[in-house]
Amino acid sequence: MSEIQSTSNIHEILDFDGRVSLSSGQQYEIFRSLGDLLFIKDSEFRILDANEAFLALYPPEKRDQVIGYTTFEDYPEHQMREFVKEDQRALDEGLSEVQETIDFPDGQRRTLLTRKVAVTSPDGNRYIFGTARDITDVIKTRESLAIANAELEEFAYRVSHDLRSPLVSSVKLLSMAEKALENGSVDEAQKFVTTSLASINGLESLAQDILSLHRLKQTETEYTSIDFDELIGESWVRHKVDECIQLETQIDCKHPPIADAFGLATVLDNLISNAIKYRNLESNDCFVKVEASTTANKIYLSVTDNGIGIPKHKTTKMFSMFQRFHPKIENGTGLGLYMVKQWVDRSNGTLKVEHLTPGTKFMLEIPQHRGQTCDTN
Amino acid sequence: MFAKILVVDDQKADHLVAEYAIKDYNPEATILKAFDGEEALNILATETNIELILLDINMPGMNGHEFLEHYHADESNPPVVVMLTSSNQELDREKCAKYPKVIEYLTKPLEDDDLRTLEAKI
Repeated sequence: MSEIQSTSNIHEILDFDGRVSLSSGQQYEIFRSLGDLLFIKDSEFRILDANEAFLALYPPEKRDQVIGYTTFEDYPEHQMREFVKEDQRALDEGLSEVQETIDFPDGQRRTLLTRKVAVTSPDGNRYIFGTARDITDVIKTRESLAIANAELEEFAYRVSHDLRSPLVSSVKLLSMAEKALENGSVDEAQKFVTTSLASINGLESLAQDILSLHRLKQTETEYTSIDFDELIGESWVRHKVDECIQLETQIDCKHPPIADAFGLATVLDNLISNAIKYRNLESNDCFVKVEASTTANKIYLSVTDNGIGIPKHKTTKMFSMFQRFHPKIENGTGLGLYMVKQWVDRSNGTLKVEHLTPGTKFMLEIPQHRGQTCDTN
Repeated sequence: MFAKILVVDDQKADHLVAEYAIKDYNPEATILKAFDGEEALNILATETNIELILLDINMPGMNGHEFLEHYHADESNPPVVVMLTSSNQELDREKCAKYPKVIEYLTKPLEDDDLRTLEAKI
């Protein structure tokens, strides 16, 4: 577009009626510099000309072997057949329009919306004029929106169920308690109230997890230095139930860990509370082992337990929303591991799980944050 | 009158509500409890003459839909399943409609009158 931009007088590109009137040189500059892919082929499918965006699809060392060639050999065979088919369709029918996903010579896979039009020159030669728009990002965005939408629908359905379910049973149990009291059955009324209370307590956990999830997903991340001993200690005090379960920690942070403190605390809290919640109730020798270490670039964290574990065949569902695996343990919302995975993904980290005999080991690896920190101390 | 009923639900509160509704309906009824679909299948494998299954949909472990897949695989199982849900979602009803052994779809809480209505229906 340089020729157009360097035009000092706007009247140079306007005709007497004020309409754009470009010289062929100016038109060629526009052709050359447009962001969409533009190319012209002859009836033998050889590329006669192409713009910069098209040529950029080829590695620099191959760019001098584009004009004058079909370049079919630079593409996988199935793709080559499609090119020939659509080129021929354009010549035969005058028009070809396709959405195609192509592995390009520069190693990138792109999805294009390609339109090829047949034109005939005054001397009777047939040419194909092609335009292609790279819609890879549009497709990706559309796919991620579809996933987000499905997730949102599932979320709304499950939340409406999980909120309503304890409310419905609690209201019923309280009315049963009222009736029992009228009949003088205090013990029975007590039983109804106790069960109702346990049910309502589950609601508070659900509300708390939904808030944490919202905060993890929506709010701006604040990076601070992490004190693992403090985070683990706070979580342990919050969830520890009895002396039958012991905490072991191994912290080896030669490089100060810098991370999203709220996210890391939430993740650690979920893993520790799961390890306690799903301990083996028949054992007096339960443990939760938390290990943390750092390098200059990475933070490594693992939480190991010898509890009842997660069935191996449920591994694929493990990090989905509202997944619970142990029917007789009621006090779980099924959002904990989902939150862990969401946060690790958002932090560009990795999360692995190992099924032990007995127990489970979760291993996280997240990048150290090298930006400006906000000291919490 | 239903004499032997299997209640499949992961919530203790719902088990308690169902237990008292069943007792009000038939004080002599035998109530069997399962906390997920897999436990229900195990009970069905050993217990005979279960006349009614009250099945929750959303459960950890094997959920209500997964249970129905297994239950329908054995054609000799009687059509006595009643779905119980607290969400009253149309989607749940549609999903259950494909299982011929599901004879009714009820919204929680279970009442003793629901059982009388079911008995009359059968």
